[in-house]
Amino acid sequence: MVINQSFTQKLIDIVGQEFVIVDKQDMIVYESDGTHDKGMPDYVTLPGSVDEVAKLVLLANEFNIPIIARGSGTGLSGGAVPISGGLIISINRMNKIINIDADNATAEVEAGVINLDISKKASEYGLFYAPDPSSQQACSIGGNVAENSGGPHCLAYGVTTNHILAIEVVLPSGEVTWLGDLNKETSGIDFRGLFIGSEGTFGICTKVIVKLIRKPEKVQTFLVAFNNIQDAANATTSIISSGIIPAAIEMMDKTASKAAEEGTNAGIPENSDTVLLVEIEGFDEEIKEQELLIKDIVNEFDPIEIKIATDEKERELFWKARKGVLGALGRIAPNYFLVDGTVPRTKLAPVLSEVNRLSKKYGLVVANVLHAGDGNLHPCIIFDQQIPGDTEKALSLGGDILKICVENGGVLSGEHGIGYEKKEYMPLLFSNHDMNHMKNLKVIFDKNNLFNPGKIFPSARN
Amino acid sequence: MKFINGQKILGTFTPTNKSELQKTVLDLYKSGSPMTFIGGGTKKHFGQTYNKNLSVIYTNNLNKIIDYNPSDLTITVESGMKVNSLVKELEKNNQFLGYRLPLVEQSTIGGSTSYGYSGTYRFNDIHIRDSIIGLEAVDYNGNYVKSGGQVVKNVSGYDAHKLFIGTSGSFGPIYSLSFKVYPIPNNSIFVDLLFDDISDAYLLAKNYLLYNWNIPRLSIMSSSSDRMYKLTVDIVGTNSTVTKISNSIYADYKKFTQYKSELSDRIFTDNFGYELDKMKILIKFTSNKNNFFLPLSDYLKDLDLKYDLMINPIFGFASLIVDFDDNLNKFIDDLKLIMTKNKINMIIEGINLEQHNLLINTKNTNNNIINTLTKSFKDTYDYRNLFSPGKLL
Repeated sequence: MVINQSFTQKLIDIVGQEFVIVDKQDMIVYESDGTHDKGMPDYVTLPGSVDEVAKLVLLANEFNIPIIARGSGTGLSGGAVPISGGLIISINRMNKIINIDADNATAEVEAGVINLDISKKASEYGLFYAPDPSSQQACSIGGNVAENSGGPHCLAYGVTTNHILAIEVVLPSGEVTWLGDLNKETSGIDFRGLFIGSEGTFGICTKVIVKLIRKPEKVQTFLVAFNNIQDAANATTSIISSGIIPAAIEMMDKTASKAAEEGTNAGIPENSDTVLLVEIEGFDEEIKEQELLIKDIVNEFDPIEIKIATDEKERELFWKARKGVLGALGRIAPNYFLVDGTVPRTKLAPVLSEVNRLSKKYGLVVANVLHAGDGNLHPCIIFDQQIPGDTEKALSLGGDILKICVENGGVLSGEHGIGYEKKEYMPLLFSNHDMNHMKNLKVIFDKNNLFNPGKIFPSARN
Repeated sequence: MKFINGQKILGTFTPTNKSELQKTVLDLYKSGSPMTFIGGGTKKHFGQTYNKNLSVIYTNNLNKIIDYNPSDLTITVESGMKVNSLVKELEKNNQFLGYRLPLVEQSTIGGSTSYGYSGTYRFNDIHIRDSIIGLEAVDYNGNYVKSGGQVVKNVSGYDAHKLFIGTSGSFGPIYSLSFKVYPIPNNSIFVDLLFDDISDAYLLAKNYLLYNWNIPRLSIMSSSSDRMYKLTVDIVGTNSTVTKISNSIYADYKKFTQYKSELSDRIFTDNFGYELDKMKILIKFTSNKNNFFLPLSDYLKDLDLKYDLMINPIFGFASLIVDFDDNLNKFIDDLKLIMTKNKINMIIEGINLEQHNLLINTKNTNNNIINTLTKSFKDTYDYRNLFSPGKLL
C-alpha cells in the first residue's frame, strides 16, 4: 500500500506524532506475533484512550484501511499479523488498573494491562485473576479477550470468558459501548460472550471488568516422573475421574522435560520418560486428604518418582521448568512450530501415539507439552528453517496433527485461536453451513470487513 | 382453541428425531408460520410475551443421550431431555452439572438453556452459559448448524452457540447440547441460621461469598409471615473442609445471637420463584454489588404486603414473590423508584401481567447500540421474524 500522507497526518492529529509509526524499520516488531506468519503493517498507532481508538477507527473507515488490533504481540495463531497491511492499533499504552473492588471481587482495567499485573495488584486484597497463559508476564488482558486465552490453571478455573463480566469495545462503526452489564445475571443476547474469542474481527476491546478469586489457603505441587507417556496420560484420566479437580495437570514428554531440566535444574529424574506437574489448591486439611489420594492414584501407574514441592521456591522452580520449556527447546534446534489442539481427555494416549508416529514419518523431532487435564495438546515441532524444506515439513506435520485431533473428536485450537495459521483447517471441523453461520456474525459487527481481514475463515480459493 | 401467552396456537408438532425437527422447522418457515419451541413448558409465561399467533414445536420427544464418556467429564444430549433424567444419568457416575436448575422433573435442558437461568446453587460460580461447550441448532433453511464441540477447552471459530443461550428460541430450535460436567463433591452439608436483622445476616454472609469451590449456595430468605431472616448455606468438599467451614460459620454466628437453626427445604430453594400461580408475580433484582438488597429489605420491612424473598448475594440477584392485590401497582411504582436510585435492575415475571398493567419491556435497554445490534442479529438469523416472535425485541 502506498503511504497516504493525508491519512498519516490525521493519525498524528489524533494520537500525536510520537505515537504514530510509519518507518518500516520501526515497524518490524509489529510484522509478526509468536508465530512464523509475517505481514508488514502500513501504519502503527499507539492510542492512549478509548476516544483516540474510536477516532482512529472512524478515520480508517473513511480511508477504507484495514484495522488490526494488537496487544503485546504474544499470540500464537498469527491473529495480530497484518497479512495484507493496514493500520495496527496497539493498545499497550492503555495500561491502567482503574479500580479493584475487593468487596465484590472485581477489577476494572484498561485493555493494555498485562495479565499478571492484575493478580499482582489484586493480591493486596487476597485475590487473584485466574486465567494464566504461559505468556502472562507479557500478554495483555485485551489480547486475552480477543483470543479467549487459557493457561495451565484453566483446568479448575475455566478460560478467559468465564472470568470477564463486561468489556468496553470500539465497534467497527467507531461507536463505543459496553458489552455485558456487570451483573452476573444477564438477559438477552450474550454479546460479551460472543465478542470474547472473536480474534479482533468484531472490534477492539478497550476496557475490561474481570472477576477476581480468593487466593487459596494452601497450594501443593507434585512433579511425577513416569516410564512412558501412556501411563502419564492414564494417570491424568484417573485423577480427574476420582473426583479431584486439580488446579492444573501439565504434561511434558521426554524431549520437553529433558530440555526443561537442562534449562532449570528443577529435579526432573534423568531416566524419566514423561513428567506430570499436578497442582492442587484449597484448605490445609483438604490438601492433606487430596495428597494421599493423588499418591495412591499415580502409584498405580508405576511412577519413577513423586516429588512434592517443599516450599514456594521449589514450586516456582517446577513451574519455571514447565513455563520455560519452549525457550529451552531452542537448545535442540533454532525454530519450533507450536501446535494447539484439544481432544477428549481419554483420547490423549492414542493421539500422542499418533503424534509420535507422524514425527517419525516426517523425520522431525516433536516435543509434547500438554495441559493434560483439559486434553489440550501443544506438540512442539522442532526444525531449522535454514534447512531447505524443513519449514514446509513442519507446517505439514502440524496440519496432520490437527487432523488427528479432529478425527479423535477434538478441535483445532484449545487456547491459541484460529487466526491466520489454522484458518485453512476450519473445514475439517465445520461445514459450510456452520462457517456461514459464523460469518454472519462477522458481517453484523463489521459489514465492511475492515477488522482483521483474512483471519479465521479459509481463503476463498480453498 | 389453545393459547400461549395470549396468542393462539396455530398447530402443534412433536418431532421424534433430528430429521423430523429439521423438516418441521423448514416447512413452517417456508410457509411463513411463526413458531416457538417448548420443552417442559415451565417458563412459558416468563420473559416477554409472543406478539403473533404461532405454532408450537414440542421438543420433549428429543430426549436421548448422544454421547457420554464419564472420564471425559462431558456429555452431549438432545435438547428435549428432562433435566432430572440428565441429572440422574450423571449421578450414576458421581457427576453433576455444577448447578441446580429449578423444576427438574418438568423442565428440559433445552428449555433451561433458552431461558438462561442457572438457579441458586452454583459450584465454582458456574453459569449455564459457561457449562455449555457446544450446541447444534436448526436455522431457517432447515440446516443444522454447529458451534463449539465436545471438548472442555475450545477456541476454534466464534462462540456462536452463545446466541441460543437466554434468548428464548429467538434464533431457532436447539437440537443438541454438550456440557462440561463435574465430579460431585465428596461431602455436602447445610447450615441454616436465623437472624432478627438482615444486616447481621449479611455481615456474617459476606465473609463467605468468595468460597467458590466450597460454598455453591448462600441465600438469605425472608417472608412476610415471620419477619425473620434465614441464612442458608450449602457447603461442599472433603470431610475436613466442610467441617472447618461450618465450624467457622457457627463460631461467627455466636457473635450475633443465640443459636437458632431451622433446616430449609433445598428443593423449595432450588425452585424458588418458578412455581408461580396466577395470583403471584415474581420480581427479580440483579446487581453487581453483593449488598444490593439492603435497600430492598429495608423497604419491605414495614409494608403490609404478602411476600417471600430470597437473596443470593454471591450471584448478585434476588427474587421476590408477591401476591396480586389492589395495592400492587403502587408498590411496583415505589419499588422501581428505589431500585433506579440504587442502580438495581428489576424484572417482573408472571402470568397475565398484561391484564394487571405490569408488563415491563425488560429486554430493550437504554443502549441504542445494543438495541441496534440485537435487531441486526434477529434480522440476520430470522429475517421473517418467525422464531419466538416478540421474545427478544
